[in-house]
Amino acid sequence: MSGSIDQVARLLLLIPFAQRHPGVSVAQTAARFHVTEQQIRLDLAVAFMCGLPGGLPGDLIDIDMDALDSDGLIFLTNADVLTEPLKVTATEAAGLTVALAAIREVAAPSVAALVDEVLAKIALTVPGVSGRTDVSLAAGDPAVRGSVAAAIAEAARIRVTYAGQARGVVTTPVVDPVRITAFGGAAYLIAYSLDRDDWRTYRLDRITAVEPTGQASSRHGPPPADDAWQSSLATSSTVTITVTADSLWITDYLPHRGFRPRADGGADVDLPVVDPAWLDRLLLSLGDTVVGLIPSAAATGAAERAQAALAAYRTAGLADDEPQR
Amino acid sequence: MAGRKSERLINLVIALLASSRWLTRDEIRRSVVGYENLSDDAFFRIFERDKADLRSLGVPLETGSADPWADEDDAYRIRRDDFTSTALALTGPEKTLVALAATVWNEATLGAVTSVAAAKLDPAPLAPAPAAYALGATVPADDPALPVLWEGVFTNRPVRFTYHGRLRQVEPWRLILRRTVWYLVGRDIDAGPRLFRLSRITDRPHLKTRAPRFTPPAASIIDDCAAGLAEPAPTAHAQVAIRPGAAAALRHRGCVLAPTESSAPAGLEVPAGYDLVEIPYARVDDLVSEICAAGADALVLDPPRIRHLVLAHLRHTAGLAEAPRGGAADETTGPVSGGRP
Repeated sequence: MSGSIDQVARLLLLIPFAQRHPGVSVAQTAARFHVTEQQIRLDLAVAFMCGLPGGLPGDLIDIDMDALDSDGLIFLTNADVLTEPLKVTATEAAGLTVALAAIREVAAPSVAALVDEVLAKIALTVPGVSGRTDVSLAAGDPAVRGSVAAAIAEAARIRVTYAGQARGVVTTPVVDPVRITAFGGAAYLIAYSLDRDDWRTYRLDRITAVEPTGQASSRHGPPPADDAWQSSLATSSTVTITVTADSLWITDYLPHRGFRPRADGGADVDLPVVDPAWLDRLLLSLGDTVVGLIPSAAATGAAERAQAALAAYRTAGLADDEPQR
Repeated sequence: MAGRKSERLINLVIALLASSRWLTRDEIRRSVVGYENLSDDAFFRIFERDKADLRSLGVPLETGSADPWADEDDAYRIRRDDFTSTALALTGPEKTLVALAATVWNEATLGAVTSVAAAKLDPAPLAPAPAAYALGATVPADDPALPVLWEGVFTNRPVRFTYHGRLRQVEPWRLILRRTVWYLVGRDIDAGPRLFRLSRITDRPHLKTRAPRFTPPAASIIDDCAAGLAEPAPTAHAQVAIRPGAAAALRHRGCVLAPTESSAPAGLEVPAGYDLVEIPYARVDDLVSEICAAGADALVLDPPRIRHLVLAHLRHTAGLAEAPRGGAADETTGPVSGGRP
């Protein structure tokens, strides 16, 4: 029966809303409540049957059915006791405060200040929300976010200094920035790379500098969806790595296809791998907490890079001392 | 049929709102359209469920009695003051932010409550233009424990769940999101205040709806419990040789030292083709991981302890491709000699 619960929740908002906006269209109302126009018509049909106890015609909510059927406009009257929406609960308001806090994390400082205004108003209006949540995402330097957001607002082409993770190389692509978004716990700039002639996604916390180019950005059509990277994960191959308990945290922080705990506290983790260089870096960074790999050939890149590093230490005269206990 | 039930619930709300006094259960049964022609049992059952449903929607339905000497609370009311608007006086840009915030959750339960909150707090927007700030965010909310704990935190009701193999009764105080990981700060009735990681909860948490509401402590007390999540401040420096243009993130954190004799640690030379960078760090393990990930692009000079750890990890990884087939293998230590304990 959750359908009727949702409908009642909506009607308690819709009846006051329609009275405040005489002649509002069904289409606008449907968009407002995130349901179909058909659903709004069903909701109004229910409202039409409701009213004060007694059930006499004068007691019922009145809806102008001609205007509704022929023009798609809503004129709802005779619902004097339901002119105000329901008081918001802390459970509901908190959904909004966490969402606002997430936006605050990725926004430029000026927008973050606006978020704080709204959060303060909510805290004053709804008791029991303030101080009960705390959100932080990897969103980098606020000054960088501010520069990027300003460039988006002004449609300005910029050069970013980007400390790319997979290969550890600094690049300075010229990009047309269009959007900042957060998913998977980190904030990203979605921009059109003039160098690559394609859309690229840059992690904001790896952008170390933003320079104006003095040029305006061009239009490149709609950017890919925020979660387009997930579809690249969906078609990627799987590597299973066995980690000790010390690296069990990767099951929380890395996208994975499942994991199986082991008796020793570690786990076998199935990782989707799009870029072999990413896996190399991961294996190197996990060091001796990785105790197995399927297929083992997937470790070849990391092993070669480790051998090269050991050779560099030997050449530099830095590898000859054995560990002390 | 859903429509009939919706009608009955709306009629009940209207009847209670329209009345300036308590309405008894019998009065409701006689006057509200939808309760007619029901047996006593059926009426009682349906009315109980209707009350619960309305309360779940945040309708402030009070139970009491019109008769102060009555033995039983069998009357109901909704105060119009409780029902009236909590709309915020929002400016245009603030309305846009609220509309944008309503899109952040991609999880059904919390997404729905957030949309309701946005609609209640801003009943007159009609400007669906969240693109205005060229901003978006998605909050990871797929942890199955989250909705129940959420309800517990914001209704101040205790919850019960299994954590580290033990069933716990917890007063949930605060939910914390750190990147992709949700934590709960709360008071374990038996073990005192502590921090729980939601992904380590091994059953579906249960909300104790009949338990009395608790009073959360002052924010500073909750802050203290959450202090372990804060990034520690750097307490030491390492000297690392980094190839120009490489290991960008590591280099960005540090400070490149001038290539003079005196800047290299005693007895060590900066290898040719490398810059010497001084890098502040708080946790040894994190720094070692980061340096290992850079491979030959970053070589530790000092302190020696960090260099030994990096060398041991690299020796392990160098042998990884020849390791016995992993996964099902039972060994818990690597096959490579690195000399680490």
